[in-house]
Amino acid sequence: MKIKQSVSKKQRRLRIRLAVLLALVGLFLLVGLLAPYLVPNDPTATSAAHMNEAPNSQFPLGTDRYGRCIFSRVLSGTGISVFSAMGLVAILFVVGTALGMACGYFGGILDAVVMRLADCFLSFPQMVLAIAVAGILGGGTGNAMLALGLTGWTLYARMARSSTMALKSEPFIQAARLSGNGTLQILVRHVLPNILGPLVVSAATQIGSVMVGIAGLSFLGIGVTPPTPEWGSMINENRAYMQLAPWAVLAPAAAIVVTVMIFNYLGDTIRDLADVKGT
Amino acid sequence: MLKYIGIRLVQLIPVVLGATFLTFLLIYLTPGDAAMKRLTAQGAAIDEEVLEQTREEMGLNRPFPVQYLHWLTGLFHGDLGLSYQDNRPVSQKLAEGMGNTLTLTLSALALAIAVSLPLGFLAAVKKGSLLDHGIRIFAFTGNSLPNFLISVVCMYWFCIRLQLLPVVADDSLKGLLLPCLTLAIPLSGQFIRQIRAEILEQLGKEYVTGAKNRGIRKRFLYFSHIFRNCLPSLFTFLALSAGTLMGGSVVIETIFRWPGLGELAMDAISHRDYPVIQGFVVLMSLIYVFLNLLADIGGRLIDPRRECQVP
Repeated sequence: MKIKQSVSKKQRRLRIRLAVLLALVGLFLLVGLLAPYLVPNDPTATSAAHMNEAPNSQFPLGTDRYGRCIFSRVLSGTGISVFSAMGLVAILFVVGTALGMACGYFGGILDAVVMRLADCFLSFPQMVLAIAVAGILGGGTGNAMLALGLTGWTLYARMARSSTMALKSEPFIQAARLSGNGTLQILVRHVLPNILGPLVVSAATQIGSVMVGIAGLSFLGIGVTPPTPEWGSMINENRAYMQLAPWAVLAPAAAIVVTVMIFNYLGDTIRDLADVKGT
Repeated sequence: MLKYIGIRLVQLIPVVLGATFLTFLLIYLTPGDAAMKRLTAQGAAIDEEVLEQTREEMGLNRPFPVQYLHWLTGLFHGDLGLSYQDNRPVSQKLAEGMGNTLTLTLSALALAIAVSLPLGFLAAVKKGSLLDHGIRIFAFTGNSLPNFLISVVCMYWFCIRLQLLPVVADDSLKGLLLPCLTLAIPLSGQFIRQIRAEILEQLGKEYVTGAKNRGIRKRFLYFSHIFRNCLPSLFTFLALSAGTLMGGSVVIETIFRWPGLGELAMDAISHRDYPVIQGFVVLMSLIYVFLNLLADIGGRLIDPRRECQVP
């Protein structure tokens, strides 16, 4: 009785934490969506009269060497970072899970081909492949996402495959088949809900690292292309002028750190919550 | 054991072939004419005759499978083609950068292990204490900080504000310090979390309770039993961290102008020097695959229980 109580206490604490973090993520999404209406100045407008200005009433976080408003740029960058990371993870999740389930359910040649392909992609260090692919494709948000996604889907494919294989011979799947359900129906209605948990946990923990990956590629100049405001590329653009205008580097840096930490903490919380339920 | 190594090596063949194929495909599929790119990179005047001659020299007129096989045989002979920029062999350029990259990554790895092994251990043993919380916050923060950000902030602080260290890294120990530190911080964050989790798992096992009840000294229990049981997983973490290290070294080398493989690769990317990019990617993936194999074998050598299981 006592043990049960302590577990539920821990779970309650985790749930509160989850709610707070989800609210923060919601806030980020909102800021990302509404950024065009929230910014005090045009994030891409340059001005020779306001170069490297320290924070003041017109420019809350100062300006960069082109006289662009740092606060407006950081605010506009929220959407790109958050949406591209979450969007990419969502795509990888769907594609990887679908492929993995198909492989686990049907087996045979499809399984062999897809899994060997996954092995091949996994033989590259993720960031090395991403840098090479993004570098060759020549930058752009879409290309950066593609470059990071090449290895990312394998995680879901492998997990979904092994859990589908384990489920396939369960009596309730056979019962579903005998009662006339089609393959697609069985996979979506009966297999998917049973394997979803660990996959969602992986997706939640992947968002933070994908965000760092996109920012890293942009920092190297092969991700989101300027003048689009992106935190990684802002840091790269302004680091040469750090002595003159440190705010132009520190503001986007703080934005990345806070955002990635919140998403990583969210991932950890969801993982812990799933763990508590399991035991 | 030998049989196991043999089986693993045979299993690797299709993976390595697939990886080389993907790398070749990557460059093959880039839009544009390779002969044109080579001539443009060298700044040569382009006319139809020279272009055709270059195409013939580079074997671009041959069918795709022949080109791939030709490149693959070259690869196994250590010939990765010629750089577009200066016509020097790619393998030679890679070999020059290799030493510097090894110095950087190995010292960062050593630093990360030296920091995270004791910290991860302490956090696990003193679970729930203030110390544990402090170490976990450090690990979590380290894990969340992008390496390019750490380098830029460190550079600003140590090189510009305090003027303690050189901005452009040179061969001296001072030059190595900052790149090594910035590469080691995210890695330690990762390691501490993994080591802590692994030791906590061991602490919950029955043999630990048994040993404690038998009155075995704590120090002996920790070092001879728990640590030893963690070692196989530690090998796996190390091999997986090689990926983080290799990717990180590209970024760090570019920032600090450290003349290693990463800087070479970024330079090749900005000059569209495809053979060098190709060579870099193939080399990295071969090293990565090989390290993972070594970790598997190492884990098995340490843990005799696993020796009889063949995958």
